[in-house]
Amino acid sequence: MNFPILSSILIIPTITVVLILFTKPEQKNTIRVISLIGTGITFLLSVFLMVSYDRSAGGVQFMESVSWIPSYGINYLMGVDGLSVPLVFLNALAIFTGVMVSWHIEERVKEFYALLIFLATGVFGVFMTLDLFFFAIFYEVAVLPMYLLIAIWGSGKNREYAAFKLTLVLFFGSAFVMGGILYLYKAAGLNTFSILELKKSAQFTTNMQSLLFLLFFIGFGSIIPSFPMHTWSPEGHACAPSAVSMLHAGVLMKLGGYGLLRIAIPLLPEGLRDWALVMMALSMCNIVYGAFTAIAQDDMKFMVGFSSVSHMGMVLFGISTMTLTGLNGAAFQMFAHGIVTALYFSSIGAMYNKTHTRMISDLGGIANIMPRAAFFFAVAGMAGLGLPGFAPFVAELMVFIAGVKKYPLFGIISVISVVVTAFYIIRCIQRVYFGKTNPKWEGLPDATNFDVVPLVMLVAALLIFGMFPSLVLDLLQLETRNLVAKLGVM
Amino acid sequence: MSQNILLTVLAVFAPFVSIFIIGILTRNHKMLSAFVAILAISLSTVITFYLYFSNMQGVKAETYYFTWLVTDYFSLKFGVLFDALSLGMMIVVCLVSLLVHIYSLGYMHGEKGLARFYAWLSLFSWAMLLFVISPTLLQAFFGWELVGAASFLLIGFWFHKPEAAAAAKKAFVMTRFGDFGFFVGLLILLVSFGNIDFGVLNQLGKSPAVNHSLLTACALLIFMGIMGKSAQFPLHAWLPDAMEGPTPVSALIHAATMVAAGIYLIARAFGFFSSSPFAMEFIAVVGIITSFVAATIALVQDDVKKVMAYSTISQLGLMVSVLGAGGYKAGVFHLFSHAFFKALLFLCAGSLIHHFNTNDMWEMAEKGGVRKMKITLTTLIIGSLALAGIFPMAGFFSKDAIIVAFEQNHKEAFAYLTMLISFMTAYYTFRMIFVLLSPEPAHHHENCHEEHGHSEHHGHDSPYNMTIPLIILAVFSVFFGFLDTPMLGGYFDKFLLNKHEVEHLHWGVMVKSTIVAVAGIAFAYIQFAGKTGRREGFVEKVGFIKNLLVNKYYIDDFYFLLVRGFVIPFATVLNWIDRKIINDTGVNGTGNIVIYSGRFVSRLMNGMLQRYLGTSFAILIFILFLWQII
Repeated sequence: MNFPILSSILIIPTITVVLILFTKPEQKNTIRVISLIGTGITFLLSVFLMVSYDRSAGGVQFMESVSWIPSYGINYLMGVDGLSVPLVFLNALAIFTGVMVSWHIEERVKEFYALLIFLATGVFGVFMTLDLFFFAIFYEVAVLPMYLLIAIWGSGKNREYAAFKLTLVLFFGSAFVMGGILYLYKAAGLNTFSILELKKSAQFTTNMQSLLFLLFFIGFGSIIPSFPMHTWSPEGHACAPSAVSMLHAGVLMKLGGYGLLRIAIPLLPEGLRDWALVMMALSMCNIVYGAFTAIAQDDMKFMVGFSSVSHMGMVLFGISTMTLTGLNGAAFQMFAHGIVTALYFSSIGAMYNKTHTRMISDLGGIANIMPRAAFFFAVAGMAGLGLPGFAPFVAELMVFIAGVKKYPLFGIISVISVVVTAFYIIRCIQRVYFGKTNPKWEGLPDATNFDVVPLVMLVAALLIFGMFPSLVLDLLQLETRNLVAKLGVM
Repeated sequence: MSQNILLTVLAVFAPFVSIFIIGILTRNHKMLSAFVAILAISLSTVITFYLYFSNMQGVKAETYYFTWLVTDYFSLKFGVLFDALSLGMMIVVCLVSLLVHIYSLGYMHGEKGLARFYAWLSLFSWAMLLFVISPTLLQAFFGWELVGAASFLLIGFWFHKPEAAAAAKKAFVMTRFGDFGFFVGLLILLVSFGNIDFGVLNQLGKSPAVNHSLLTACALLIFMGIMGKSAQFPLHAWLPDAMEGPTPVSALIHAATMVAAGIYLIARAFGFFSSSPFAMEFIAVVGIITSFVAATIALVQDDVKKVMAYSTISQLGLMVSVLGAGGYKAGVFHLFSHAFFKALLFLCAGSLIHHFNTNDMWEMAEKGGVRKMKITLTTLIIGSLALAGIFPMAGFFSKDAIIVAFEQNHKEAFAYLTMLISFMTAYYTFRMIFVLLSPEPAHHHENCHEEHGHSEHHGHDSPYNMTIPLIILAVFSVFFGFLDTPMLGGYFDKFLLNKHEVEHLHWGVMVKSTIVAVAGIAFAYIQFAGKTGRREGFVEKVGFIKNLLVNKYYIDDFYFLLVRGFVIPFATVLNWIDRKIINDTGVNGTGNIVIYSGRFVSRLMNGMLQRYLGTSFAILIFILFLWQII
């Protein structure tokens, strides 16, 4: 057996968490450095994974399988395919940059880093496991630390409410996912939790597929987040500390789309066909309504939160077209949006650390005193509004092409979001960063060289994957092809 | 890959490399960054001229593709289209861009963010060249959006000025609104025909299998993008505001190149647009309305840059209109000649502004000393003559070509309107000249030195790095027009259209247009020359017309109302719905239901035996009831 790279990606952060737990809370810098090293190694491993995944062979690679509870068919089954490799990379990037962004946190450093990395470990697990039982476990591991991270280190007086709402809605969703998984296990009657086995030989009647798909759609839809279960997201973003928002919007939301693409669609293709129109209608609400609502926000993080609602709608819209282009676009959008939001939140954080407010109406002229923070927000904004050259443009282009082809009218309606997004982003840049500086903020220092490192990494990722989208798309397509074959449509 | 293609790619990517060199290495060194950017654009210019001279006697169109994104059902490719049109436009873009790069050394002297300025200029040059060489509509869109972003960054270069910030936003959002149409049209074409290149696109209308109403719809949608970017009525309102940007930027982006991108796109996809008579008619009408509206507004402007901005809109309108009427060559020819003399005019205005620290022509006249800026004044007058269309300037020939094209395409009404617009153009241009040349008030001379310190040496012209670009552009403005005359064997036709018969001169049109232009200048002379102080022209004397024009037909007010009265309230209402109905009622309500049902159940189990028994009994009854139903 080769070097177990997937288990390493899972174990190294776990060891990091354990090491942090064994460090004295006063040794803040030690804790930070341990976190940085641990996540740095993980990041390198994920890059290695991306490079060494054999694109010509495709399929599931780096498989590891250890029998765990044979009587129920539960195995520690790890493996990655074209869909999960980019997402593993995304998560590694988000946690690595997230650790750097959180450097200035002084309160309960030990617990913060332990929880943050623990969360990321859960997300890694979700992206790498091929066993539904482990999928469920990792899914919970990924969701749970969020409550503490927001409630303890968050900002704003609403943070406990936000954390509570977020956790409850996500658990509400995961209850459906759990139910769905168990029902799926039972209904397949194969005595296995392995997605691969189930994909190969499980047979479900059309009605059952429809019912199961609905369960998964509600479950995963609440984490995507699909309208009308989206309200946890802007509030959760707004109250969370920067790194948590980065992981939350950058990666956690992608669990929903990933779940649909990994479990619901390949196993229940008929279900998607039944629910595609509903999904499309909800995604329209996400895309257009989310974008318009973002205009009215005064808190920058709320604005970005609603923009996430709008952009994650693209994922749903792409899936609902049931075409290869649409699925490619949806998967690419998950990846691209992850990087963009990570950049949004880290650049807002770079300003917020100094100003301690994010209210658009209170700020102004920030670019005069913090040109760096302003520059990175502007880059994120330009990428977010779909400027060619950045990764999201490619994703949106594919979703729109598929959308206009499948649902011409709604496809065109969804393009309206392009204008609305430009409006709120540019308006925000104008009001926050441009203009005369409010004397209140005069003399605040800009982001330091160290602060800028994670931002530069994210910008580089946006540019690289925007100019060479094939790096990711070739991977994604290996898997979306299979999905389309399952769906039996073009 | 042929040599032509290879060189074109090099020319396009030189500024691209420059962005990263400045961004990564030299961003803390102002002059080094300027040097890098100038070097890059010089390289592009040299390559472009080399390409021109090696293909002087006619360009064989070549296309080359790099694959970019391949999926099973479509592949997106990037490429280079090398033909006479793209080569001509590359020359214009590179040359004007290079001159603006050099000019900015003087104009932006002492500017803190010079490195940033040059990085954005490089970004713009790259994006514009990428647009110009696109063989597909998709790549054109790619470049199109990027030039928009560069324009936003450069208009907002002095972002600490609230007006500049607002203007940058307005420019971006308004052109983006037009781009919505472009994007939808592009998507429909992509979905219906795939990622086709312009060659195929231009032939689509000839195939009977293609749905022509679909083509018309796409043409109109794409034209919406052109209306935004090339500032056509009613999406023109951003361009005058964009004058808040540094003047060299206005010259490059908002006069010579970016705003002409729409014209270039119509010319590029001329066959496609021509396949829809309705779209062509629409384009022609929008163009002429724009031209007329902008020319009238320019009559009353006091800010020299605003005069030029409205005149740019007006000239762009003419180009759009003549292309819509079917005059391909006339549109392209005017695009090129306008690029030279309008860039010249803007750079002259920049030289004046640099000198006087004001944009207002009356204040300039009052401060005095315009006559002593010999090079600036001479080139300004050359540019103005070209804009007014006086022989032998470039504008004379290209404007005549437009009128001839209208007549040949049986659009006499358009030809007469163009004459009227020419009259107004000559009038407002020379109104500015005569105001600037007002006799200098004697008492002002001594004060000026003290007031403005050493930054204003009255009686000196701008530095050489500013005046040399002026002279070069003036040379082009004078001689470029002759390319289209029989004297040079109709060279422009031969180059652009590969057409060998020489078109004779249209004496009738020449005489008529000269009379009109001279009349405009004379009219301005009568009202403005030789006097001092603020004075009103014939338009300002009619109250309601003055109000209408000074308020720019209330179009800005309309947009203000649209945003403040509709978009933002709409967003606020949606936000209220989101907070109050979906969150507070829906999400919290669900939570409350759980809480209240929990309280209800807990009340059933309060520890008293009677309650337990009662509950058990009720449940029993309920189960029996269910049993009955099943």
